[in-house]
Amino acid sequence: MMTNQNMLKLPPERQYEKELLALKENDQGAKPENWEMSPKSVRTFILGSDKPLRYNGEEVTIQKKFFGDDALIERCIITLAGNRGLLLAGEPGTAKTMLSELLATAISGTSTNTVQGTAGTTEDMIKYSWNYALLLAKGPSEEALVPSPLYTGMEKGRITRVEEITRCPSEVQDSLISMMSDKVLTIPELGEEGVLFATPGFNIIATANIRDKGVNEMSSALKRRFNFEIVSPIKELALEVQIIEKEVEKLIAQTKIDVELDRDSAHLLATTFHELREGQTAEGKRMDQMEAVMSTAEAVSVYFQSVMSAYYYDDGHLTMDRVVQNMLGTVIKDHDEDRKKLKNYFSTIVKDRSMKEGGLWNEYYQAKKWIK
Amino acid sequence: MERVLPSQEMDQINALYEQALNYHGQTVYFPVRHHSPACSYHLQKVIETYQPEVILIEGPTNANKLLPYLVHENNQAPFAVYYSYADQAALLDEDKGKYTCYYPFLDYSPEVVALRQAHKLGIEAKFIDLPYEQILLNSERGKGMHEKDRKKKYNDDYLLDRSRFIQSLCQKENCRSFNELWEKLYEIDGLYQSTEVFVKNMLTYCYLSRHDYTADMLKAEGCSAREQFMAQEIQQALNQYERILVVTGGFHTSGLIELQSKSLPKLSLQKVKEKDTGTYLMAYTYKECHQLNGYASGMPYPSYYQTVWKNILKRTKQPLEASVQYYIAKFGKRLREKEDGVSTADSIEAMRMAIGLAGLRDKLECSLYELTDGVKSAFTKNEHSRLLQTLDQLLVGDQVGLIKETLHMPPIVNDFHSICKTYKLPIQTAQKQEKVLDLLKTKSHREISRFFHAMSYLNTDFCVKKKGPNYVKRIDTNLVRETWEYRWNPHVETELIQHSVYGGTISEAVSEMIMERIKKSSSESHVACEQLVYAALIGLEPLMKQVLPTVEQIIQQDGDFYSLVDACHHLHLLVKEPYLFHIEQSPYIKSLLIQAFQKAVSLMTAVANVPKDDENRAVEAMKQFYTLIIDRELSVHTELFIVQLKEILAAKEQNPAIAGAVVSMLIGLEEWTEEQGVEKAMSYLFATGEAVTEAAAFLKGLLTVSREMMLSNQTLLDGIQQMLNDISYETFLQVLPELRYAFSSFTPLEINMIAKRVAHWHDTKVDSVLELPAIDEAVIRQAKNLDEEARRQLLDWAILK
Repeated sequence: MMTNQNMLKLPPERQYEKELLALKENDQGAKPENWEMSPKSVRTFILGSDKPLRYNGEEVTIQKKFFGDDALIERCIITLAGNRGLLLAGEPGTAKTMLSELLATAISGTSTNTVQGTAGTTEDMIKYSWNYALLLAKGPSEEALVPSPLYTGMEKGRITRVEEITRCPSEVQDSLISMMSDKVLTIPELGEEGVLFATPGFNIIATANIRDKGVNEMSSALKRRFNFEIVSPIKELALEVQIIEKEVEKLIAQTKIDVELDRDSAHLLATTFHELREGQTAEGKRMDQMEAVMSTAEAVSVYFQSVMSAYYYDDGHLTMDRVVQNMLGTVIKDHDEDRKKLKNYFSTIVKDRSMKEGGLWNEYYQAKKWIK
Repeated sequence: MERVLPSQEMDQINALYEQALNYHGQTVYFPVRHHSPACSYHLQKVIETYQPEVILIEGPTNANKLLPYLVHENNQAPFAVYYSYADQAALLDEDKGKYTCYYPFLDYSPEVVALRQAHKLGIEAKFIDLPYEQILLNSERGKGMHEKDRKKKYNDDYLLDRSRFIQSLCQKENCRSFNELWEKLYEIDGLYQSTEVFVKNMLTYCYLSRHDYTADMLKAEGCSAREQFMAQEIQQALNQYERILVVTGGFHTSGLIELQSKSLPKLSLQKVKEKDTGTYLMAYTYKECHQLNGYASGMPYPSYYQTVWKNILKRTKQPLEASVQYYIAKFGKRLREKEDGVSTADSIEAMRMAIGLAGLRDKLECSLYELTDGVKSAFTKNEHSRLLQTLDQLLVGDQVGLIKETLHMPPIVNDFHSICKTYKLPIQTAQKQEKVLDLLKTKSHREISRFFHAMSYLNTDFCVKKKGPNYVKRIDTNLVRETWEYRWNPHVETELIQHSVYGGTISEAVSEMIMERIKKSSSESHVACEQLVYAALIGLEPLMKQVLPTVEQIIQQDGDFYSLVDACHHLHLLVKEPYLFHIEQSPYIKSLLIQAFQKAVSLMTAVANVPKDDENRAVEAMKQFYTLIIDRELSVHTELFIVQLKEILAAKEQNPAIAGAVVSMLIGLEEWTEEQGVEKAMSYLFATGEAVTEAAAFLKGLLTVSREMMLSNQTLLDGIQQMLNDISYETFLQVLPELRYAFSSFTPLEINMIAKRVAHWHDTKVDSVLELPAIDEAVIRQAKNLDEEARRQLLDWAILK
């Protein structure tokens, strides 16, 4: 098994091992069958608690891991204790995947029982496939069957995660319907034995992206099997600025180049992304929302690229020209409407600020020339 | 709650409790929150147990004469007591302003429950608070109820909220708001507690809310005087009765108990003439009772809590959960009526969610917040908003109260009569009267005009404007006089009574209606701005200030170019000519104008390729817009406007009429030279094939916006002449209607000038062309016969009827 040190990213069950143990030890609430902890403890695991818990003689503080709507977390937990699956929908970069990992970890102790949805996902990846050597040698048998994560989830009563469900072809998505409503999976190859009844504790957390083009619309039959929760982007500008700075710092550290983070430009960029995404300026003026994904993650990428090009081409001096160029290349791409909207944004909002505040905003306004 | 309190404070609260709920004493104090079913539930029990001889209720004593009507079986809640005070004697300040407030009641308001039970059991009951006008006189301006220009409620709940500890309590109890906290601790838990425990918890809460208040603050809010007055009333009752029940807002209970045993100096009250005050009972609506903008209005969602109250009265086992179930079913049904594909399975899931969430949140029963969360999870499959709006409407309810029996007519009718009297408008006659009003010169005329406008806004059939400027439709705006015809008829009063729900005076009712229409206009900014003009006409300047933020939101949400252009015009009128309405110049309205303008400009490119049918409207809108840009108010934004004009011309597909208008504007803004414009025109005029038909549309656009080019530039006319020479007769007939339209914008003098030039080419004179008989009489007769014949045949074939 890999050690924590040589893993690029730790799964939550490793990262928060101590918190999980402490919560379990102190858990006094009623648990739904096969859950690792009570719904209240699941809530505490995700939303944190001021009061440290005692575990093995030490005090363990439960960190807050998800920022935003607390009631949403409560709804997610209660949904998972019921008959329907949970579908976390939302714009890219809103921490849907993280939330689904946390929920799965708290409820079933593992976040890795996961189907990664892509356009190439097939029905056997959802249900089960065969080890063909064993299949040829012994014929269809349980031994030759290769269970899918969903199969394992049903068998062991675990939460199964389906990532990017809407990227899967519709017919593949639909194979989930009977498993979710009847809680049964039939394996005709195994004859009469071939019926897998779901163990209590089994449920599905799916994530879906509501903005990406080219996704496959879910059938209403499947929609009915899910409770939908919309996860919204960060509403607070200050918090977003903080996250962007933190992330860019991390990236710069990884590339080991010697540049200093320019906080003012980071703030300016965060403001632009935040405003264009929310369709509202910091002063409360409304404007057109962009079609393109203006997530925090995209802002980080634009900023990081600008820093890199400044480092390699402009002697480390970050110019607003670079920022605008990268914004066009990374975010707007060839979307004509968005280009117009961005241009409008510059001719009204940025212009206003360049007149009122001057400085960096003025330089930013001058870079409007790149938006053709 | 005890967890957050140190023990000394608990001792004080215990002492307070001993004094409040002492069934063996001469007085029992019962603290309430307005519109709280749990309070009503326990209050009923206290009345049964204590059997008081008299019930003293917090409420201005002016309303005592209305008590029989508050409990009358023919009157149905929701209703409100409406208080008014006209400061004629300038006791408050020099403004001699008018003050009003409402005291709303629902079936489950503790005060109503107490009054009704007293009526049933033959117990005496009365209000004991200071008269409304005295509350005003004893509080500082801008504090408590002493605020002008706002529809005030007689209510103290806002006092309960402000304290600091609420926030920490919310956090501790995992509640997202004060209302959720209240529901959890009092409405839900309260039903499972003994009355003793409930009262104690209420007192704890009220004690703490009052804790942050200093004596000065209490005085400024008018609380000190009110409590002293109430305490005196209670002391007086002590001489008369053996068992007295005092029902007041929780905030005052501790204050009253403190004053109970003290000997109080007599409160000196200023003398107020009776004619300056008014107290009326009037119908009210659930919608009015539900105000989410603060805690001042008691509990929200009246329809929901009405169901809870009914369940409590029916002794339903879990009254809140039963209400949740009822509303989930009702919600599902409502959605199915709208043909949303929802099933009973969704309702079951919503109910399961609600119950599960109640467990997770340590609530004894699920209620309002679990209901909305359950619906959010189980019913919505994308964005929440629309469905939740439907749910919200259901929970608020649309019931309107009914007043059949009362002392006086609703105040709005009296207001009408008193205004007519003030302005000496004769209404005791069936004869139509006429009034000519000089709006700019005479103050009283302006005021009468405002009154007439208000009456016609209310659709009362009282008056009709026969002549004068129409600023809403922008017709005859050069006129300065208005001529009105008016006549009183019974219909006027019926209409006014119907509007009495909206307010006690005509201007209040109009304000409410304007506000409602603005809110309802959702994203149609032209509707909202039109309402602003009405508000200006009726002289509701404070209202205008109040609704501007809403209008701003609507402008921001509006994505329709035409609507925004219209909105710009309404706003422009208010910015440019406020003196017409005798209102102040408002920078806020100006900023709205700029916002609407910018938004419309950014949407302008959408008209580049409008369909033929829409082009006249689009050209007209752009022309109006252009007149705005020429105005200096908006000239800073010319740059953006020009960018957008050029964007339209650069579009691959463009409507020729729009292109013509754009060219005309670019020249007008000195962005293009006239030569450039002519060049563009020539490209249309000398087009080949089908494209030549577009030339007429281009000219129409060009000349609608500005016709100077035709007069000053010979080349353009030459070009037209050339085109007419080149095209076939069929094509000519095709383009003729639009050419006519294009030339319709010229004045007769200009037409004559152009005609002279045209005549010159044909070696003739204008006069000789005019002298020619237009058409031979025989031809006309023949055509007429032909028409008649065709008509007869069509009738025969039953194609025409």
